[in-house]
Amino acid sequence: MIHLTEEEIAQCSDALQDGTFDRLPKAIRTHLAECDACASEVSVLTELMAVPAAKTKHVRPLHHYAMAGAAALLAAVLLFFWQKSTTQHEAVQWAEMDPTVQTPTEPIPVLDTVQPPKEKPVKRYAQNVELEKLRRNFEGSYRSSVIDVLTPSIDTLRSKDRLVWNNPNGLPLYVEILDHTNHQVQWIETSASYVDINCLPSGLYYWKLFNVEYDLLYCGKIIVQPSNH
Amino acid sequence: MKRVSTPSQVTNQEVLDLLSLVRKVVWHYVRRGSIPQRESDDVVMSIAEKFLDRKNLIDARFKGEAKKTTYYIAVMHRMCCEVIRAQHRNWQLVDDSVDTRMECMASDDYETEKQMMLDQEVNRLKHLLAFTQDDRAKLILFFKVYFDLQLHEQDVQLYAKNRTKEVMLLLLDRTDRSKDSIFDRLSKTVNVVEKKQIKKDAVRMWFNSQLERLLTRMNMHDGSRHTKESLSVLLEMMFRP
Repeated sequence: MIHLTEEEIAQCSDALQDGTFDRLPKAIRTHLAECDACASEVSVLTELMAVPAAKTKHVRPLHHYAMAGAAALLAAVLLFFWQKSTTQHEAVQWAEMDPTVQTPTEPIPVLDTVQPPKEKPVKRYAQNVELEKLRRNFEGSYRSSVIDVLTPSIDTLRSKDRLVWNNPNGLPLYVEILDHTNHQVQWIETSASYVDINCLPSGLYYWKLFNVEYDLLYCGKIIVQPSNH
Repeated sequence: MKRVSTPSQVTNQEVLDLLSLVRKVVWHYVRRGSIPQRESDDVVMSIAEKFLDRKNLIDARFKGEAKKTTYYIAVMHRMCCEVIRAQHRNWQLVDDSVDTRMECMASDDYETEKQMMLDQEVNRLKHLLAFTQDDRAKLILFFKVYFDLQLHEQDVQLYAKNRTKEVMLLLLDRTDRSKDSIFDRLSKTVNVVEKKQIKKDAVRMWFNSQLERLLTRMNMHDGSRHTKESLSVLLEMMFRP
């Protein structure tokens, strides 16, 4: 069955609103009597047209989006400094209480140097749709009761920084760092409660935490700022 | 969230107007839970971008048979349905800890929102009944009898024409309210008005197919889950004086 075009659907909707449905061409009326899809579409469209603009969410002009963006950036910077101080403070407190945690004097797993990507700076911060969905699944929740990730789901880091979680039993874990194109940048084995990230070029990265069975325990996002920021 | 890239010939004001229309379409589905609220801005932007990309073609296809705004919304509505079909499974993978529909409603007056949605459903039902064309009067009369709604002489007259009094006597006899008895009276009605010799089973089958078709149409596009019971409530609201 050939369905009605968008304009014919709109024509029917207009006719219903104006009370002139019976004046529509016979072919269109017959089609609506027979075709569930088009009939349903017309009914939804007619109701959409009847919804007053005030009942929908307010649309901000584009310059408001720019202002909102600037405000969000400022908030993100403030949040970054606040979260970093909180996370580090919590990590130190926890380390003092738990003898299984590696102290900073113990050997720390360090990621190898990565060659800087030859991309435009803006592209390096492009989100990966699949990894973004995965990250959202883990946002605010921890699949494992043994490992609690302390690093925020979205963390803004400098080129040298640390991913932190809670691993009181010293379980062997794997950390995979992926760039925004879902290519592996680093793979590291550790039984500590953190890994240090060194020499990551600026850009958007995702990181995954696996247990020894390769069960995915967590997925987070890392935004590495340019070193001159 | 993506930014909308605008073709050079589209003014900023036009973009704002189009965004307003897209948001209207998207929020229809957000309110009904087909689109999670967290995704609404992304869906709005993706539809707006697609629309602006194809705007020249969309305008070229417009013949002026409908109002342009209605036509634009019809196009955006199809684009929105495409997005829902493509993303529905992915959206369901994320388990919201809060009911975004309730959250969305709580920001406004909940009762007003509820009433507005009920009114929308009643209106949709009214429109869908209008599409039944020649069977409209017969179907409305049968619904009223089947769901035991208040029957007016005018309802009978639209179907029975000059046999109205005869049919009124048949249908107002409500001593036995079983479904079997109802279909028996309806078959007698059809036989009187249409000068046929059909049995109650044939009427029952015709009526059930009409009911199913109406429910299919009510539930087709926006994630509604109407049943025979909810339909009876909507019909009661629709015929309420």
